Amino acid sequence: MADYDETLAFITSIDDAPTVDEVCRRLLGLSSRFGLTGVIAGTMPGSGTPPSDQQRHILLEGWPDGWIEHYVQRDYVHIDPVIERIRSDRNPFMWDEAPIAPTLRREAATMNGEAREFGLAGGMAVPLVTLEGKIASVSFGGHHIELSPDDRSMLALVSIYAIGRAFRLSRPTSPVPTCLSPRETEAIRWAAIGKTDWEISMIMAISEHTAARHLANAKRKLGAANRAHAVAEAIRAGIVR
Amino acid sequence: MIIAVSGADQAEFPHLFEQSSRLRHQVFVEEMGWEDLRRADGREFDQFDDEHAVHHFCVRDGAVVGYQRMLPTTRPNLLSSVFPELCEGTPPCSDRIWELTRYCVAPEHRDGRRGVSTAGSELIAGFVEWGMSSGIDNVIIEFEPMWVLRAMQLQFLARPLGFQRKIGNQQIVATQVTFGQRTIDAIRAFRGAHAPVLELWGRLGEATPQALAV
Repeated sequence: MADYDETLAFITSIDDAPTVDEVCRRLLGLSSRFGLTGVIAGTMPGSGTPPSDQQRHILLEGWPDGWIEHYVQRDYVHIDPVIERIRSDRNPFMWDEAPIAPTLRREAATMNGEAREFGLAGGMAVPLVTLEGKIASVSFGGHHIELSPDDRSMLALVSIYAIGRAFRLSRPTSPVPTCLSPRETEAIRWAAIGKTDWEISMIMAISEHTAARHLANAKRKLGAANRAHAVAEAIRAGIVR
Repeated sequence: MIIAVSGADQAEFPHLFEQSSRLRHQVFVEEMGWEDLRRADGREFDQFDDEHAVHHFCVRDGAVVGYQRMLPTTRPNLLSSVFPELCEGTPPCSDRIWELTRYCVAPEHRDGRRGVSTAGSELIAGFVEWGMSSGIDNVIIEFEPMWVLRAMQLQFLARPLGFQRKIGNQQIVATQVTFGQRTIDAIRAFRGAHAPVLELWGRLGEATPQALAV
């Protein structure tokens, strides 16, 4: 069985990664233990998407050098059995579990042979569906793979956090700026270093009642349940550093 | 509209509870195959449908088309009593953490194709609004792993409470999600609808919202 605390630490570190490249590097740090030395994640291009547009669907890429260019140039997305299965399955699977359409057997064999030369003898794919209903996936590949069923589900779970983080970093939803007044901002900054309402009132030369009101307004605007939550939200919003 | 009703007020709103118990049976027994819950009368309820539960009904033209049930983690709940194998450590137990169970949308209202439907996202907006007005900022949910991605897209902070396991015909992972103002902003942006969705009925509507107290 995979270690829960270690898995949680990996997820936390991936969810804290400052850039998509760093998400990729940290994810590969885990998957490489199982021989999965390459990874790609993104949404699925619709069938018939021209090669020039396919790369725009990629969110995160750590494939061996040259493979993605080769794959796109040969238009392999339309014969790759892994892609086909990602569109129809909801559970993680190994590449060799993806059935090859009889009409594509020759092309698929050529593609697999070339993938092997790039160091991608096998792999695992994690199919996902986004909020909007778009099909997405994380796919790992490598040369010598040793992955138990437990490792598989652990890695699949971590990879969902990785693609979630990559989504956030690549398309930051512009947060609605929280507009605290200068007095509310000052009050929350003092609250963040542990000052009581009375202390804040003395520092800001206002009544204790007014200090409490500034904080209550800040809390409401931040959507916070209490003082500690308000401070945490203010830090997240960059109001308190 | 999402109507929140305390389990203690069940007798006051028989229509809502009658319809939701049928929807629950339809989705969880007929569709998802939780045979332990099957009942001859086609109404699903369990030991947690007591006065401590809070029920959220998604209502369209007077009919319940979506539903979820909130359970306090300070009392026995699904994770602690029914699926302890989904939790690696001690199950969460706090006034600020509730458990979301029985999330469902009637089949004819699943307009999201593969994604999240209008009623489904309204339920999500509903529990976040309910939490933010009740001093609750964390919810634990047992769901399919791909919901983790959706939760992250909606600006929830998600953390697993254990590993995924097969339950019924699905892989399920217990997850704790934390929410705040930016979560509700993201949900409303996704819905393209910015007005609050939640109404508190019965005794919930009479209680003083804790969030207003400093």
